[in-house]
Amino acid sequence: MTHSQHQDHNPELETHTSPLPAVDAHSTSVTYGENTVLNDVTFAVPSGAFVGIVGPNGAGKSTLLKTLVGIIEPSAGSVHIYGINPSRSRGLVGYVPQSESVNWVFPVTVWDVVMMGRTPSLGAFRYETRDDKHAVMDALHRVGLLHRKDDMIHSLSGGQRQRVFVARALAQDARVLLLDEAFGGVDVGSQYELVAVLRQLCEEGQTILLTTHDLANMARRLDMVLCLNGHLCAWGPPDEVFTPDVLEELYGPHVVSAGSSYTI
Amino acid sequence: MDVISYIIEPFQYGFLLRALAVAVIISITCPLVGVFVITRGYGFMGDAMAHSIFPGMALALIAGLSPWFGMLPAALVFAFLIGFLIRKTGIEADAAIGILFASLFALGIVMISIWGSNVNVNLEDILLGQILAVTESDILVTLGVTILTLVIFAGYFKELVFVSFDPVGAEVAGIRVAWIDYLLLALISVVVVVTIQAVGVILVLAMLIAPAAAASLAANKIFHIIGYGILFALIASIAGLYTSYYGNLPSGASIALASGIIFAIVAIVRRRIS
Repeated sequence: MTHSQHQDHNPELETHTSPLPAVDAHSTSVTYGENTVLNDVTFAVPSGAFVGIVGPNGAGKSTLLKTLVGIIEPSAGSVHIYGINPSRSRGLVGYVPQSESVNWVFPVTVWDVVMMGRTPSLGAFRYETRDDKHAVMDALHRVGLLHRKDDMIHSLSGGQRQRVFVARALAQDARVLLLDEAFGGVDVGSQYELVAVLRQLCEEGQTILLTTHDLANMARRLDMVLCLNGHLCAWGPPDEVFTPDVLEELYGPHVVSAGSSYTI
Repeated sequence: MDVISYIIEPFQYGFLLRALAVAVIISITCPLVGVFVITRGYGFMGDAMAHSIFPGMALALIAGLSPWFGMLPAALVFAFLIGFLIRKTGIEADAAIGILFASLFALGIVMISIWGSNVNVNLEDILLGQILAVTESDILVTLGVTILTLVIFAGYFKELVFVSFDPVGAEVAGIRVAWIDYLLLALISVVVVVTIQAVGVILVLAMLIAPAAAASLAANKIFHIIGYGILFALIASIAGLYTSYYGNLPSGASIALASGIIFAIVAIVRRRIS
C-alpha cells in the first residue's frame, strides 16, 4: 500500500501533526480458545513516542503487537492506528518480526529484504518502478546500511539485520514501527547503534513500539514503558513505571532485589 | 569414430531426441522450485509427493489411460494434504507424512502387482524412470504443464520469496501466507510429476535437490543459484543420457548418478577454494 493509498482511507490523515494518538488501545482483550492472553488493556501512544513493552514470557507482548498490525482480532475492545482500524491501516504499520521466525538461510540480499516493504504496492508481475527503488535506497540510507545493499542478509550481524528490517518498514512508508524482541541476538554494542537509529527516527516523527526483555539497558532511553503481564501492570515514563511493586508484579519477588540496585 | 560423430550419433534416434527435450525441460524447472525445497527444508516432502503420486499413476495405467491422468490430480491432492498436515500438526507433520507416503507407495505396488500384468506395466520403469520411452504427447503435456508452472512462478515469485523468508512479515504486509504456501507445494508437486518421467519415483530428489544444492554452494543470490542449478541439471541430464546410451545403463539411474557426482565435485571445489 502506498502512502497515497492510505490517504484514500482517510484524506485528513497527516500523521506528523495528527492530534490523534498514533496507537490507541481501548479495553483490548485477546483470547485464544479459552486462554485470555490480553485482558482489558488500555493505553494511548502519542505520535513520535519511543515506547518499550516489557513483561515476562507469555505476557502477551507479541500478541499485542500482532493485534496492532491487524493479524489478530481483539476479542473485546478495540485498537486504532491514527484512528484507523488495523485491518485497514496495514501500510501505516511496519513490523519487525522476532528473529526466530525468519528463515535466515533463504538466499536474499539486503536490497531484496527492503524491497519486500514495497511488495504490496508493486504492479503486475511485481515490476519495480523508479519510485520503489528510490524508496528502498532512501530507507537504507536512513538506517546507515546503504553500503551493504548487495550483501546477503545472513552475512550481517544481529543488530544490522534488525536495521535492515527497520529499513523495510520505512520503505513501506510506515508511520508506526513495531519491533518484536528488538534485541534478540543483538550484542550490546549493536544495541546502542540500533537504539540510536530508532531514536533518530522518532525525532523525525516515527512512532516506535518495541518489546524487550532487556530492562537495564533500555529503560532510560525510552519515552514511555508499557508493563504487561496478561494485563496492563503499568504505563508511563520509565522512572515512574519501574517501581519495586511493578517489577514484582511483572517478574516475581526475586527480581525486586536486583531491580532496586538498578538505576533508571 | 571422431568426437563430433560420437556426440551426434545418439541423437539420430527419435527416442533420444525426445528424451533430450524432456531432460532440458526438467533441468529448468527442478532447480527453480529446488531452491525453495532446500531452503525451506521440504526435501522429505518432495520425496513423499513422488511416492504418494504412485497409486494415482498406477490407477491410470491399469485403467488403460495415460499416466498423466492419474499423476496430476494425485499430485495436487497430496500437495494440499501435505500443506494441511504441516499447518495443523506442526512437528508431528513429519510422522504423518511419513506414514502417508509409505502406505500410499505400498498401495501402488500392490495395485501394480495385482493388475499390472494385464496392462503390461513395468514396475521398474515407474520406479526408476524411463525417459527413453517418452512419446511426443508426453513432451507436449510436459511442455504445457511446465509453461503454466513458469508463468505462475513468475507471477508470484516475490510473494513466494517473501513468505519463504519471513512468513510473519509477509502476513503483516497483507499477503495470504497460507495460500502462497499451498501454491508453492502445488508447484513443487507438478514439477515432481514431470520429473518422474525422467528419473522415476525413487530418484526424483536427484533432480529436485542435488542441482539446486550444488548451486547454492556455487552462488549466493537467488537468481544466480537458479542459473547455476539449471546449468548443473542440464549437464547431469545430458551426461546421464550419453552414459546410458554408450554404457547401455538405465537412463534414470545414470542421470541421478551424474547429478550426485556434480554435487560432489562442486562441494569439493568449493571446499578447496574457501
